[in-house]
Amino acid sequence: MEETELVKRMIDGDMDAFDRLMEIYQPKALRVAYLISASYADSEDIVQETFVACYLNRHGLKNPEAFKGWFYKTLSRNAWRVCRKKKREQPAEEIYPEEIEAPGEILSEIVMKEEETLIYEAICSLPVKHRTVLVLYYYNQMSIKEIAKVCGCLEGTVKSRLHHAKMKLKEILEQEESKGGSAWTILS
Amino acid sequence: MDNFILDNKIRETLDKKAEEAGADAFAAQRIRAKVYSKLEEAEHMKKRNWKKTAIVAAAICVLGSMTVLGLGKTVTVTGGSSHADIITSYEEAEAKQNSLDSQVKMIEKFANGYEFDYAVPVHSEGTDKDGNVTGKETTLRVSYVRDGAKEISLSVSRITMGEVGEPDAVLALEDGTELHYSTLVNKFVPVGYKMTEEEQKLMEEGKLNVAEGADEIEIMPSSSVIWVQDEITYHLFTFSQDMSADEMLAMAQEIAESE
Repeated sequence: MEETELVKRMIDGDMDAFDRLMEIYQPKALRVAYLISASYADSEDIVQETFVACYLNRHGLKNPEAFKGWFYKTLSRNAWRVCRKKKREQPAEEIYPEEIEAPGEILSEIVMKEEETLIYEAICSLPVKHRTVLVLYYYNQMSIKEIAKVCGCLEGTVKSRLHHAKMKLKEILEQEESKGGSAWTILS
Repeated sequence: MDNFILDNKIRETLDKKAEEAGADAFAAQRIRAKVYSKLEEAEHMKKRNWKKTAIVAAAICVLGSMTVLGLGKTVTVTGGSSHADIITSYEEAEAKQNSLDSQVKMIEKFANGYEFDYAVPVHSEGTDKDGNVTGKETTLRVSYVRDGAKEISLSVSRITMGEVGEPDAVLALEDGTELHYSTLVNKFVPVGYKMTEEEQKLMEEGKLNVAEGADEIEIMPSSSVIWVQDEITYHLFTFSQDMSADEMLAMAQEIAESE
Protein backbone atom coordinates (compact mmCIF):
# COMPACT_ATOMS: atom_id res chain seq x y z
CA MET A 1 0.00 0.00 0.00
CA GLU A 2 1.19 3.50 -0.79
CA GLU A 3 2.50 5.65 2.06
CA THR A 4 -0.14 8.36 1.51
CA GLU A 5 -2.88 5.75 1.82
CA LEU A 6 -1.33 4.45 5.03
CA VAL A 7 -1.20 7.99 6.41
CA LYS A 8 -4.85 8.60 5.52
CA ARG A 9 -5.81 5.40 7.29
CA MET A 10 -3.72 6.33 10.32
CA ILE A 11 -5.49 9.69 10.51
CA ASP A 12 -8.76 7.73 10.62
CA GLY A 13 -7.40 5.82 13.61
CA ASP A 14 -6.32 2.61 11.84
CA MET A 15 -3.67 1.12 14.13
CA ASP A 16 -2.49 -1.39 11.49
CA ALA A 17 -1.64 1.49 9.18
CA PHE A 18 0.13 3.28 12.03
CA ASP A 19 2.05 0.09 12.78
CA ARG A 20 3.15 -0.20 9.15
CA LEU A 21 4.28 3.44 9.13
CA MET A 22 6.32 2.74 12.26
CA GLU A 23 7.97 -0.18 10.50
CA ILE A 24 8.82 2.00 7.50
CA TYR A 25 10.05 5.05 9.40
CA GLN A 26 11.63 3.62 12.54
CA PRO A 27 15.06 2.48 11.21
CA LYS A 28 15.92 5.80 9.56
CA ALA A 29 14.29 7.85 12.33
CA LEU A 30 16.43 6.12 14.97
CA ARG A 31 19.60 6.90 13.04
CA VAL A 32 18.62 10.53 12.47
CA ALA A 33 17.75 10.93 16.18
CA TYR A 34 21.08 9.33 17.08
CA LEU A 35 23.03 11.69 14.84
CA ILE A 36 21.22 14.77 16.15
CA SER A 37 21.28 13.86 19.84
CA ALA A 38 24.62 12.00 19.75
CA SER A 39 23.19 9.65 22.36
CA TYR A 40 21.89 6.17 21.68
CA ALA A 41 19.79 6.07 24.85
CA ASP A 42 18.17 9.41 23.98
CA SER A 43 17.60 8.47 20.34
CA GLU A 44 15.26 5.62 21.31
CA ASP A 45 13.26 7.97 23.54
CA ILE A 46 13.13 10.63 20.82
CA VAL A 47 11.76 8.16 18.28
CA GLN A 48 9.18 6.76 20.73
CA GLU A 49 7.99 10.24 21.64
CA THR A 50 7.80 11.15 17.96
CA PHE A 51 5.60 8.19 17.04
CA VAL A 52 3.36 8.80 20.05
CA ALA A 53 3.01 12.49 19.16
CA CYS A 54 2.30 11.63 15.51
CA TYR A 55 -0.55 9.34 16.45
CA LEU A 56 -2.04 11.62 19.10
CA ASN A 57 -1.82 14.71 16.88
CA ARG A 58 -2.70 12.92 13.63
CA HIS A 59 -5.79 15.07 13.06
CA GLY A 60 -3.51 18.10 12.80
CA LEU A 61 -1.96 16.70 9.61
CA LYS A 62 -4.13 18.23 6.90
CA ASN A 63 -2.14 16.97 3.92
CA PRO A 64 -1.27 13.24 4.14
CA GLU A 65 1.32 13.67 1.40
CA ALA A 66 3.30 15.94 3.70
CA PHE A 67 3.72 13.20 6.32
CA LYS A 68 7.48 12.81 5.95
CA GLY A 69 8.18 16.50 6.62
CA TRP A 70 5.65 16.58 9.44
CA PHE A 71 7.21 13.48 11.00
CA TYR A 72 10.76 14.85 10.90
CA LYS A 73 9.57 18.20 12.20
CA THR A 74 8.16 16.43 15.26
CA LEU A 75 11.32 14.35 15.61
CA SER A 76 13.56 17.42 15.40
CA ARG A 77 11.56 19.25 18.06
CA ASN A 78 11.80 16.22 20.36
CA ALA A 79 15.53 15.95 19.74
CA TRP A 80 16.05 19.67 20.43
CA ARG A 81 14.05 19.40 23.63
CA VAL A 82 16.18 16.45 24.80
CA CYS A 83 19.40 18.28 23.89
CA ARG A 84 18.24 21.43 25.71
CA LYS A 85 17.39 19.41 28.79
CA LYS A 86 20.71 17.59 28.68
CA LYS A 87 22.61 20.85 28.28
CA ARG A 88 20.88 22.24 31.37
CA GLU A 89 21.62 19.15 33.41
CA GLN A 90 25.21 18.54 32.35
CA PRO A 91 28.29 20.66 31.84
CA ALA A 92 28.98 20.96 28.10
CA GLU A 93 32.19 18.99 28.21
CA GLU A 94 30.35 15.98 29.62
CA ILE A 95 27.71 15.80 26.91
CA TYR A 96 29.93 14.13 24.35
CA PRO A 97 30.92 11.43 24.16
CA GLU A 98 27.78 9.91 25.60
CA GLU A 99 27.75 7.69 28.63
CA ILE A 100 25.92 4.78 26.99
CA GLU A 101 27.53 3.29 23.95
CA ALA A 102 25.48 2.52 20.88
CA PRO A 103 25.33 -1.20 20.16
CA GLY A 104 27.66 -0.93 17.20
CA GLU A 105 30.00 1.61 18.67
CA ILE A 106 32.84 -0.68 19.71
CA LEU A 107 33.08 -2.23 16.28
CA SER A 108 32.62 1.11 14.60
CA GLU A 109 35.43 2.68 16.59
CA ILE A 110 37.73 0.14 15.05
CA VAL A 111 36.54 0.62 11.48
CA MET A 112 35.98 4.37 11.62
CA LYS A 113 38.97 6.18 10.31
CA GLU A 114 40.74 8.70 12.45
CA GLU A 115 39.65 11.51 10.16
CA GLU A 116 36.00 10.43 10.37
CA THR A 117 36.18 10.42 14.14
CA LEU A 118 37.53 13.93 13.96
CA ILE A 119 34.76 15.02 11.59
CA TYR A 120 32.15 13.44 13.82
CA GLU A 121 33.51 15.18 16.91
CA ALA A 122 33.43 18.45 15.02
CA ILE A 123 29.79 17.81 14.00
CA CYS A 124 28.93 17.13 17.64
CA SER A 125 30.44 20.45 18.66
CA LEU A 126 28.02 22.36 16.41
CA PRO A 127 24.86 23.95 17.88
CA VAL A 128 22.02 21.43 17.71
CA LYS A 129 20.03 23.33 15.06
CA HIS A 130 23.06 23.50 12.75
CA ARG A 131 23.71 19.81 13.40
CA THR A 132 20.09 19.02 12.53
CA VAL A 133 20.38 20.80 9.19
CA LEU A 134 23.60 18.94 8.45
CA VAL A 135 22.08 15.54 9.33
CA LEU A 136 18.90 16.14 7.35
CA TYR A 137 20.84 17.35 4.33
CA TYR A 138 23.73 14.90 4.20
CA TYR A 139 22.31 11.83 5.87
CA ASN A 140 18.57 12.08 5.26
CA GLN A 141 19.11 13.56 1.80
CA MET A 142 16.38 16.14 2.16
CA SER A 143 16.26 19.24 0.00
CA ILE A 144 16.85 22.76 1.34
CA LYS A 145 13.13 23.42 0.90
CA GLU A 146 12.14 20.31 2.86
CA ILE A 147 14.61 21.11 5.64
CA ALA A 148 13.27 24.66 5.88
CA LYS A 149 9.79 23.24 6.51
CA VAL A 150 11.10 20.73 9.07
CA CYS A 151 13.09 23.37 10.94
CA GLY A 152 10.40 26.02 10.62
CA CYS A 153 12.76 28.58 9.09
CA LEU A 154 13.49 30.25 5.76
CA GLU A 155 15.41 28.44 3.04
CA GLY A 156 18.05 31.13 3.38
CA THR A 157 18.49 30.24 7.04
CA VAL A 158 19.01 26.58 6.12
CA LYS A 159 21.64 27.55 3.55
CA SER A 160 23.33 29.79 6.07
CA ARG A 161 23.33 27.08 8.74
CA LEU A 162 24.77 24.59 6.26
CA HIS A 163 27.43 27.06 5.22
CA HIS A 164 28.28 27.91 8.81
CA ALA A 165 28.45 24.23 9.76
CA LYS A 166 30.75 23.44 6.86
CA MET A 167 32.99 26.41 7.57
CA LYS A 168 33.25 25.36 11.18
CA LEU A 169 34.16 21.78 10.18
CA LYS A 170 36.67 23.05 7.66
CA GLU A 171 38.25 25.29 10.28
CA ILE A 172 38.55 22.49 12.82
CA LEU A 173 39.99 20.08 10.29
CA GLU A 174 42.46 22.63 8.94
CA GLN A 175 43.60 23.36 12.48
CA GLU A 176 44.20 19.65 12.92
CA GLU A 177 46.08 19.54 9.67
CA SER A 178 48.29 22.44 10.67
CA LYS A 179 49.13 20.59 13.89
CA GLY A 180 50.56 17.90 11.66
CA GLY A 181 47.69 15.46 12.01
CA SER A 182 47.82 12.82 9.34
CA ALA A 183 44.07 12.34 9.22
CA TRP A 184 43.11 15.34 7.14
CA THR A 185 46.04 15.57 4.80
CA ILE A 186 44.33 13.43 2.19
CA LEU A 187 41.58 15.99 1.86
CA SER A 188 43.68 18.98 1.03
CA MET B 1 40.10 22.69 0.76
CA ASP B 2 37.78 21.18 -1.79
CA ASN B 3 34.09 21.54 -0.95
CA PHE B 4 33.21 18.44 -2.91
CA ILE B 5 35.64 16.34 -0.87
CA LEU B 6 34.36 17.88 2.36
CA ASP B 7 30.75 17.11 1.34
CA ASN B 8 31.66 13.50 0.66
CA LYS B 9 33.55 13.13 3.89
CA ILE B 10 30.63 14.53 5.93
CA ARG B 11 28.24 12.16 4.15
CA GLU B 12 30.48 9.12 4.66
CA THR B 13 31.08 9.96 8.31
CA LEU B 14 27.38 10.37 9.07
CA ASP B 15 26.49 7.18 7.16
CA LYS B 16 29.06 5.20 9.10
CA LYS B 17 28.15 6.71 12.47
CA ALA B 18 24.44 6.14 11.81
CA GLU B 19 25.07 2.43 11.34
CA GLU B 20 25.89 2.19 15.05
CA ALA B 21 22.28 2.95 15.85
CA GLY B 22 21.08 0.18 13.56
CA ALA B 23 23.08 -2.59 15.15
CA ASP B 24 20.56 -3.44 17.87
CA ALA B 25 18.14 -5.95 16.44
CA PHE B 26 15.75 -5.53 19.35
CA ALA B 27 15.45 -1.74 19.11
CA ALA B 28 12.43 -1.87 16.80
CA GLN B 29 10.58 -4.22 19.15
CA ARG B 30 11.46 -2.12 22.19
CA ILE B 31 10.36 1.13 20.55
CA ARG B 32 7.11 -0.39 19.30
CA ALA B 33 6.24 -1.79 22.73
CA LYS B 34 6.91 1.57 24.40
CA VAL B 35 4.91 3.49 21.79
CA TYR B 36 1.86 1.31 22.39
CA SER B 37 2.28 1.50 26.14
CA LYS B 38 2.48 5.30 25.96
CA LEU B 39 -0.57 5.49 23.72
CA GLU B 40 -2.51 3.39 26.23
CA GLU B 41 -1.29 5.65 29.03
CA ALA B 42 -2.37 8.70 27.03
CA GLU B 43 -5.85 7.25 26.57
CA HIS B 44 -6.01 6.58 30.31
CA MET B 45 -4.76 10.11 31.02
CA LYS B 46 -7.42 11.55 28.72
CA LYS B 47 -10.11 9.80 30.77
CA ARG B 48 -8.55 10.93 34.02
CA ASN B 49 -8.28 14.49 32.72
CA TRP B 50 -11.98 14.52 31.99
CA LYS B 51 -12.62 13.27 35.52
CA LYS B 52 -10.32 15.89 36.99
CA THR B 53 -12.14 18.61 35.10
CA ALA B 54 -15.42 17.28 36.44
CA ILE B 55 -14.04 17.38 39.98
CA VAL B 56 -12.83 20.95 39.66
CA ALA B 57 -16.24 21.94 38.32
CA ALA B 58 -17.85 20.08 41.20
CA ALA B 59 -15.67 21.81 43.75
CA ILE B 60 -16.68 25.13 42.27
CA CYS B 61 -20.37 24.27 42.15
CA VAL B 62 -21.07 22.41 45.34
CA LEU B 63 -18.95 24.19 47.87
CA GLY B 64 -21.21 27.08 48.71
CA SER B 65 -22.45 30.19 46.95
CA MET B 66 -20.38 31.60 44.11
CA THR B 67 -20.15 35.03 42.60
CA VAL B 68 -18.92 35.15 39.07
CA LEU B 69 -17.07 38.33 38.20
CA GLY B 70 -20.00 40.21 39.70
CA LEU B 71 -22.26 39.15 36.84
CA GLY B 72 -24.54 36.76 38.62
CA LYS B 73 -24.69 33.34 40.17
CA THR B 74 -22.97 30.45 38.45
CA VAL B 75 -24.82 27.18 38.63
CA THR B 76 -22.87 25.17 36.08
CA VAL B 77 -19.23 25.07 35.20
CA THR B 78 -18.08 23.12 32.18
CA GLY B 79 -14.49 22.58 31.26
CA GLY B 80 -12.31 20.81 28.78
CA SER B 81 -8.70 20.17 27.93
CA SER B 82 -6.86 18.54 25.07
CA HIS B 83 -4.15 15.92 25.35
CA ALA B 84 -2.39 17.57 22.43
CA ASP B 85 -1.79 20.65 24.62
CA ILE B 86 0.01 18.78 27.40
CA ILE B 87 3.24 20.46 28.54
CA THR B 88 5.86 18.19 30.04
CA SER B 89 8.63 20.67 30.82
CA TYR B 90 8.35 22.81 33.95
CA GLU B 91 10.02 25.79 32.26
CA GLU B 92 7.44 25.72 29.47
CA ALA B 93 4.62 25.29 31.99
CA GLU B 94 5.91 28.28 33.95
CA ALA B 95 6.04 30.37 30.76
CA LYS B 96 2.50 29.28 29.87
CA GLN B 97 1.30 30.11 33.37
CA ASN B 98 2.82 33.57 33.11
CA SER B 99 1.15 34.16 29.77
CA LEU B 100 -2.25 33.09 31.17
CA ASP B 101 -2.11 34.76 34.58
CA SER B 102 1.19 35.84 36.08
CA GLN B 103 -0.30 36.16 39.56
CA VAL B 104 -0.99 32.44 39.87
CA LYS B 105 1.45 30.60 42.13
CA MET B 106 2.97 27.28 41.18
CA ILE B 107 5.99 25.33 42.34
CA GLU B 108 8.15 22.63 40.78
CA LYS B 109 8.78 20.39 43.82
CA PHE B 110 7.26 19.76 47.22
CA ALA B 111 9.14 18.89 50.40
CA ASN B 112 7.43 15.48 50.57
CA GLY B 113 8.94 14.40 47.23
CA TYR B 114 6.13 15.28 44.83
CA GLU B 115 7.51 16.75 41.59
CA PHE B 116 6.08 18.43 38.50
CA ASP B 117 4.87 15.85 35.96
CA TYR B 118 2.88 17.77 33.35
CA ALA B 119 0.53 20.70 32.87
CA VAL B 120 -2.47 21.16 30.61
CA PRO B 121 -4.49 24.28 29.77
CA VAL B 122 -8.16 23.91 30.75
CA HIS B 123 -10.88 26.01 29.18
CA SER B 124 -13.81 26.64 31.53
CA GLU B 125 -17.14 28.37 31.18
CA GLY B 126 -19.62 29.21 33.91
CA THR B 127 -23.33 29.57 33.18
CA ASP B 128 -26.28 30.69 35.30
CA LYS B 129 -29.63 28.87 35.67
CA ASP B 130 -30.90 30.42 32.42
CA GLY B 131 -27.87 29.21 30.51
CA ASN B 132 -26.27 32.65 30.27
CA VAL B 133 -22.51 32.56 30.21
CA THR B 134 -21.30 34.22 33.40
CA GLY B 135 -17.57 33.80 32.95
CA LYS B 136 -14.98 32.19 30.71
CA GLU B 137 -11.34 31.47 31.37
CA THR B 138 -8.35 29.39 30.42
CA THR B 139 -6.19 28.24 33.29
CA LEU B 140 -3.38 25.78 33.71
CA ARG B 141 -3.89 22.54 35.61
CA VAL B 142 -0.59 21.21 36.93
CA SER B 143 -0.04 17.58 37.90
CA TYR B 144 2.59 16.32 40.31
CA VAL B 145 3.72 12.75 41.00
CA ARG B 146 5.81 10.94 43.56
CA ASP B 147 7.61 7.70 42.65
CA GLY B 148 6.06 7.97 39.20
CA ALA B 149 2.53 7.44 40.54
CA LYS B 150 -0.01 8.76 43.05
CA GLU B 151 -0.86 11.89 41.15
CA ILE B 152 -1.97 15.15 42.74
CA SER B 153 -3.22 18.12 40.70
CA LEU B 154 -3.42 21.86 41.19
CA SER B 155 -6.14 23.85 39.46
CA VAL B 156 -6.91 27.54 39.68
CA SER B 157 -9.88 29.70 38.79
CA ARG B 158 -10.79 33.35 38.79
CA ILE B 159 -14.38 32.63 37.77
CA THR B 160 -15.41 31.64 41.26
CA MET B 161 -14.84 33.06 44.68
CA GLY B 162 -16.60 30.30 46.50
CA GLU B 163 -17.12 30.06 50.22
CA VAL B 164 -16.18 26.54 51.15
CA GLY B 165 -19.03 24.70 52.91
CA GLU B 166 -18.16 22.53 55.86
CA PRO B 167 -14.53 21.47 55.49
CA ASP B 168 -13.17 18.43 57.33
CA ALA B 169 -10.05 20.36 58.42
CA VAL B 170 -8.82 23.95 58.27
CA LEU B 171 -5.29 25.38 58.40
CA ALA B 172 -4.93 29.13 58.91
CA LEU B 173 -1.74 30.72 57.56
CA GLU B 174 0.04 33.73 59.03
CA ASP B 175 -1.28 36.07 56.33
CA GLY B 176 -4.85 35.09 57.20
CA THR B 177 -5.36 32.68 54.27
CA GLU B 178 -7.44 29.67 55.29
CA LEU B 179 -6.75 26.32 53.66
CA HIS B 180 -9.85 24.11 53.64
CA TYR B 181 -9.49 20.34 53.38
CA SER B 182 -12.46 18.19 52.42
CA THR B 183 -13.29 14.87 50.83
CA LEU B 184 -15.83 14.18 48.14
CA VAL B 185 -17.36 11.09 46.55
CA ASN B 186 -17.44 11.39 42.76
CA LYS B 187 -19.86 9.38 40.73
CA PHE B 188 -19.14 9.44 36.98
CA VAL B 189 -22.26 8.43 35.10
CA PRO B 190 -23.45 8.10 31.48
CA VAL B 191 -25.46 10.97 29.97
CA GLY B 192 -29.15 10.78 30.99
CA TYR B 193 -28.50 9.20 34.40
CA LYS B 194 -31.36 9.76 36.89
CA MET B 195 -30.20 10.63 40.37
CA THR B 196 -31.86 9.06 43.42
CA GLU B 197 -33.30 11.26 46.19
CA GLU B 198 -30.47 10.29 48.49
CA GLU B 199 -27.90 11.25 45.89
CA GLN B 200 -29.60 14.60 45.44
CA LYS B 201 -29.48 15.17 49.18
CA LEU B 202 -25.78 14.30 49.34
CA MET B 203 -25.08 16.63 46.43
CA GLU B 204 -26.82 19.48 48.22
CA GLU B 205 -24.68 18.78 51.28
CA GLY B 206 -21.56 18.96 49.14
CA LYS B 207 -20.57 15.37 49.81
CA LEU B 208 -21.32 13.91 46.39
CA ASN B 209 -20.44 15.01 42.89
CA VAL B 210 -22.34 13.40 40.01
CA ALA B 211 -20.67 14.06 36.65
CA GLU B 212 -22.20 13.06 33.33
CA GLY B 213 -20.22 11.83 30.34
CA ALA B 214 -18.72 8.47 31.39
CA ASP B 215 -19.17 5.23 29.41
CA GLU B 216 -20.23 3.40 32.56
CA ILE B 217 -20.88 4.22 36.22
CA GLU B 218 -17.69 4.63 38.24
CA ILE B 219 -17.28 5.86 41.80
CA MET B 220 -14.02 7.54 42.81
CA PRO B 221 -13.45 9.39 46.09
CA SER B 222 -11.21 12.45 46.02
CA SER B 223 -9.59 14.74 48.59
CA SER B 224 -9.15 18.47 48.09
CA VAL B 225 -7.63 21.54 49.66
CA ILE B 226 -9.19 24.80 48.52
CA TRP B 227 -8.10 28.32 49.34
CA VAL B 228 -8.38 31.81 47.91
CA GLN B 229 -5.47 34.24 47.47
CA ASP B 230 -5.55 37.48 45.45
CA GLU B 231 -9.03 36.58 44.16
CA ILE B 232 -7.70 33.35 42.72
CA THR B 233 -9.26 30.09 43.92
CA TYR B 234 -6.67 27.33 44.26
CA HIS B 235 -7.77 23.72 44.25
CA LEU B 236 -5.29 20.97 45.11
CA PHE B 237 -6.83 17.53 44.71
CA THR B 238 -6.07 13.84 44.36
CA PHE B 239 -7.86 10.57 43.74
CA SER B 240 -5.25 8.80 45.86
CA GLN B 241 -6.59 7.51 49.14
CA ASP B 242 -3.14 7.26 50.75
CA MET B 243 -2.72 10.94 51.48
CA SER B 244 -3.62 12.35 54.88
CA ALA B 245 -5.30 15.70 55.46
CA ASP B 246 -2.10 16.96 57.15
CA GLU B 247 0.10 16.03 54.18
CA MET B 248 -2.23 17.69 51.69
CA LEU B 249 -2.56 20.80 53.83
CA ALA B 250 1.25 20.99 54.10
CA MET B 251 1.54 20.83 50.30
CA ALA B 252 -1.09 23.53 49.88
CA GLN B 253 0.77 25.66 52.43
CA GLU B 254 3.97 25.36 50.37
CA ILE B 255 2.15 26.73 47.33
CA ALA B 256 0.32 29.44 49.27
CA GLU B 257 3.53 30.65 50.90
CA SER B 258 5.65 30.50 47.74
CA GLU B 259 6.70 33.75 46.06
